[in-house]
Amino acid sequence: MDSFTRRSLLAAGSSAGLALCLPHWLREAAAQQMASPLVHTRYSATSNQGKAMLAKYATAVDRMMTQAPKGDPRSWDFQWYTHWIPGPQFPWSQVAAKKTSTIQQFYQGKPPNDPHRKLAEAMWDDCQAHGSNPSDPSFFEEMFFLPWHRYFVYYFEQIIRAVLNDPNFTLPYWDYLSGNVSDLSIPPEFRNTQSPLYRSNRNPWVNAGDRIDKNNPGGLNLNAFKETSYIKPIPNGSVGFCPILDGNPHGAVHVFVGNSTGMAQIPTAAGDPVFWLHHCNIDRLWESWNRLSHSNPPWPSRTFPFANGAGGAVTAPVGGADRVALLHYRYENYYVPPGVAEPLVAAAPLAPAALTEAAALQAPLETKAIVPGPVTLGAAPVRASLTLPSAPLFAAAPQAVAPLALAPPVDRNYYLVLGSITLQGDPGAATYNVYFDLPEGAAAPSTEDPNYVGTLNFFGVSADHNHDEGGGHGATFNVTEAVKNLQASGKLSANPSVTLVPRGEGLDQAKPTVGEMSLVEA
Amino acid sequence: MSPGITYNVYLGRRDAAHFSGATDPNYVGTFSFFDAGSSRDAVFNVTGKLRKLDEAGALDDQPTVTVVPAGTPESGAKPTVAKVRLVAAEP
Repeated sequence: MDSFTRRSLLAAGSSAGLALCLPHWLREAAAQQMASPLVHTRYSATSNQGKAMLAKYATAVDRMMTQAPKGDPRSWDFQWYTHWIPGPQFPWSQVAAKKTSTIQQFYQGKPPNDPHRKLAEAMWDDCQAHGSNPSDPSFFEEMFFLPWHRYFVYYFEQIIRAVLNDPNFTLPYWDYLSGNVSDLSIPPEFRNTQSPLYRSNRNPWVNAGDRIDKNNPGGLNLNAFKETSYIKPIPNGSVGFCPILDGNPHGAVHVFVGNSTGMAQIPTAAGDPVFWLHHCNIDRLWESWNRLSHSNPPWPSRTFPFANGAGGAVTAPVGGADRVALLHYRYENYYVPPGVAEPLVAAAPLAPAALTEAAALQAPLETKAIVPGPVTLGAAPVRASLTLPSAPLFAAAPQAVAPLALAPPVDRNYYLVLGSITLQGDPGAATYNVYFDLPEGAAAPSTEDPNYVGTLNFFGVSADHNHDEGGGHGATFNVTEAVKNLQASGKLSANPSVTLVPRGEGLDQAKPTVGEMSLVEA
Repeated sequence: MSPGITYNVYLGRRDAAHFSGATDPNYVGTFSFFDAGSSRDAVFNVTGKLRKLDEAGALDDQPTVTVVPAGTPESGAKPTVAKVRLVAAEP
């Protein structure tokens, strides 16, 4: 990992609360956030809205399966393998071997630093908490079952918005325990053999439309709602809402729906499109429990890797998934146990009133743009352009590229991150001034220039320590004000540039290289 | 491999042949082997069930736990419950 941290990113920044409008290079991804409702609503799969969403979902699944480039984080298999790669679930040595061979197959001919390959290495076989890694026993923990899957569904939903160029898409939930017996059947859209949502590796009665618990009527329950603790350790295990919900209805639905090549096994479960509606409902049940004034535990400082709709890397802290409001969505309705009064007010507001530092520390860091490939510096200024982290998958619909005159729905900051910096010689005291979107050919800019965002130095970097295990030196610059000012003056480029201007001697011998350059939103 | 079915768990003395599923007074829950690979527990809160069975005089000093398959497991699957524990914990 690079040497910058979430806290250092925030420390480098100014206060939040900025009104930003973004240029077209971020349109596809930004359209989701800029032009979309403040809070997205997820609907029941049996409601009219839910059925409309399922029609869109079928289109998206087909595109992800058949048109997305192999290995792209927005492709169907990539998302499936994030849960688990088809193959062994244990022992870990076999899991690791399968992952290595699968990555070699998917990224044959791609360099080790290929962004999609690196995402696959970070993301695949990550399902919490359904693995067991003896060399890192804390990697999989039961308490992460719910927040990890919340992020998993959340970013899958963002990817579908990008695939469809539809900022209003939301994933429906399958409310199999609504109390209506008919809801115990898989939604009919998944039983149409001509639909991308159909899978033949379900139990035969499931695709025939019978209730999924046909062989064990009543076997699904919401007994987890009797629990008042999220999780409570006991010797060699745990009790509480999370582990009980994990077993039933979560695990039981998996086994009721699929056979041993589908939903019933962890390595193959996410290959079935109904997987996502099932976990959407599990997510809804968690939020329903929180709405009954039950609290989640203090979360550790753990992060999970994901990919966003633009195909960029995301670093998501577990605490950022604490409540759905933090991720700006809600459900059409929530479960309320019998005999319990409907909560008058949700235990958390629908949207944070202000982005405090504490909240910002829990917000995911999302890569919005990158400079492809390493940038070699020297004694002359170097200028590089930022582009989307991954090529757009499909042509943008007209509404997706409309001028972004809307205020941003949430406060955010933008950071320019220079990572994996290496040297071939001693740069002495020389530095580089860093400018964001400086016009090409601009004469001798100073540090007073509005495009100036900071100065890069090489303290702590030496030619002898370019390959340390820490991943190299990094530097972060808050470019929020620069983006804001450039936007306000109408001077922000379609593809903003990053310009590094040398200050001092000896840089032609030192030949610094910036291995990775990206624009990160937080 | 996973047996591909669920199992019902009952608490208290009775002949397994008479257990009748989720509506049975001795039924405490259903579990699957979906997560068998990580060796995690299936957990049931039996607090209320113990109280009811005790009030009905249907609880022995050494309560019996019965696991009944709901269906036929896949051939070759050898599902094993290595340990059954009754744990007391504060809410």
